[in-house]
Amino acid sequence: MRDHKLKLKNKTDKKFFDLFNSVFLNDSRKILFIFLVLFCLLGGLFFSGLLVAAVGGSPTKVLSSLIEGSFQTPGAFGRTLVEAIPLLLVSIGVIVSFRAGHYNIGTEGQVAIGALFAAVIALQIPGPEWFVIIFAILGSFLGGAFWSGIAVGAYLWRRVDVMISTLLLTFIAPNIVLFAVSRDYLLLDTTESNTRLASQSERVPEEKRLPEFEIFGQELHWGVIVAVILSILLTGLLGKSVWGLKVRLLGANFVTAKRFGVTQAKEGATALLLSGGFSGLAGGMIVMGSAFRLQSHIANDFGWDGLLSALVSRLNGYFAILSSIFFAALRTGSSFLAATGVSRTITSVIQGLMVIAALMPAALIVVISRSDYGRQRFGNQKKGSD
Amino acid sequence: MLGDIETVLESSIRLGHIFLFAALGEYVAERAGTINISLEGMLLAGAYGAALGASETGSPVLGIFAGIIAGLLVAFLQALLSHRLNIDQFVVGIALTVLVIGLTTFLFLEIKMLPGRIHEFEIPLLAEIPVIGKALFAQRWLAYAAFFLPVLIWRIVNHTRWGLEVRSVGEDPAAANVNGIPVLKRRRQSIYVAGLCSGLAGAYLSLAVTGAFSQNMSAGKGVVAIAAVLFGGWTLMGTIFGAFLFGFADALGLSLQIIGLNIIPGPILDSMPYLLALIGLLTISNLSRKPAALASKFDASGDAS
Repeated sequence: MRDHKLKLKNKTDKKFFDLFNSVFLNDSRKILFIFLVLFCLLGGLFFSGLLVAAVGGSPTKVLSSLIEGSFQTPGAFGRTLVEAIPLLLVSIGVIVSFRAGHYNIGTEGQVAIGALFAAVIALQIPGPEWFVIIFAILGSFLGGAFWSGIAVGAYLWRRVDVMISTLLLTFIAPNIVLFAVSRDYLLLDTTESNTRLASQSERVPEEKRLPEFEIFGQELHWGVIVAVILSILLTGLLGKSVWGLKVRLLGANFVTAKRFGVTQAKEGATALLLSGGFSGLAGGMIVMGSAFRLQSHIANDFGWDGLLSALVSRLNGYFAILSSIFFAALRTGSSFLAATGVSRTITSVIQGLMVIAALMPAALIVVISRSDYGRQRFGNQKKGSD
Repeated sequence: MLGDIETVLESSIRLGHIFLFAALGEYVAERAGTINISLEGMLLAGAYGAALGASETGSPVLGIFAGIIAGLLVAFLQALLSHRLNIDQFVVGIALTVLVIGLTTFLFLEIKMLPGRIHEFEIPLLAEIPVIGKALFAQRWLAYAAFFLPVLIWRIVNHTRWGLEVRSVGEDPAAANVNGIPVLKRRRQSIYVAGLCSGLAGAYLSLAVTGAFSQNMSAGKGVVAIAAVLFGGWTLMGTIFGAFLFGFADALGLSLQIIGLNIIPGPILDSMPYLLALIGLLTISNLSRKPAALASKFDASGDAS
């Protein structure tokens, strides 16, 4: 009798201990992780400053002119937000594909092809304005999806690595755009304004552009709202829906996923097509909302920057909104750097350092949990990870 | 006509060497189970390091060493992050490539460089052979590394204990681990080989092919080198063949312009190497089997570090 009671007591003790362990220790891990993320991002900025100082510039001046160029001057914040639209759209696409374990890193090419589709529709399809705008935007989505669809097809047919094929396609895409805008029977601008026949298309007529609106003195177009809604929607779907679970399962472990009936052919392909489509949409937004004409370098690193912004957001759709605004601020602010004597390409170094910084917390967690302190504090949860 | 063929062949081989050197390194890394996306970054770092080294010391030879060290530096970071700290190898590769592109572009504008160019060196007699003589034996002297680097890689991978261990780590890391092979260590070392080779490729690019560094001058050459390994079906001969095939595609545009043929429009010629790589991957690559554990993570249970 007595023994029995003792046993029970021990059991509850153990249960309580387990509960305590799981709640408190996991939380402290979480807090540690958030702290590490902030620490690493600040560290990335610090190293950027160090580099500026190393080449003889002043880090504070660079920072202040970046902020001035991207937020403070009149209308600058609006410009930054407009730049952030394609970045955000690309980021969401990248997040979906990375979560599915298919690394679509050819976003730059998909942006270019999306822009091409949008420009073709906007310039050559007749019809009422609202129809052309919607059609062009949808067309850009299809264009991007088509470009990533080639990689999907290559993967399904011949198991060609998606990462390699999307990257190779990225280098082909700008050449296709260049071909289109340098032939007069395609998209070359043959109006009188383009007397030197530069390789570019005609401007999208005023009434066929994305409608603009003004808020707090900042000029924005409707793409801002579309992008934010899409990003919240897709992040919600990814996190809460059955489809999202399937996609994440596929990315986490495709053998397990196969057991549950989640296949590369269906969910993986959908994720990749969606990812390409969102990049294409970004291209459409560039043509219809800010550039208004097609050139061979229409993608202008938006694809790469969006990819990086997704990595910096640690593949979280909500944080992607913040990180794409940050990346857009680097783009708009960089034009103000001339006064500081530091080349504007410092922003691409900052981008690279931030991406590395976003990777570091996971690495530091590994280091900490391998150390003696970490073992005592967090227990050796993953057996044999030392 | 014969002269035209000679021109095309010469420039294909010259450009093919870039892919060859980088692809040889990637070949070793992939046999150990890593798809090393940062190859592009290593190549660019090598090109910049070589140009800077040659410009600072005034000697191309020291420049080559500087390029190799720059490539190794990127390789070290890739190996550290992906095979010691367990971060996803692709994400690390992308991040490092981006960092290298940004850093070299920035430093290129900040630091002025005047690197010397590697001299041309004709091997007497052999260079007199018609058609192929000029292509093979009248290059800048670093190109002749192409004669013994593949042999070296072949010997190391196929005829040493280290090479056997590298291959086993790429095929079945769990079994290799049970047999006492430090899996992650071998993978890291194979990445160092990739860094060394692509550093050399970068040095060749900036010191021998162009004679100067320019912004983002690798422009996807690293990716094509990776594609060459995949195209070659993870065999050494296939990789070499792939590298020269893509070199040929790369040179085609240039050569056709020199010869005066303008049938194919420029934009299409420019995308030839990438297009050909893609078509190659679609048609030939999966005739052979890839390393079973390619791109897989390995939990560090056996690696005491």
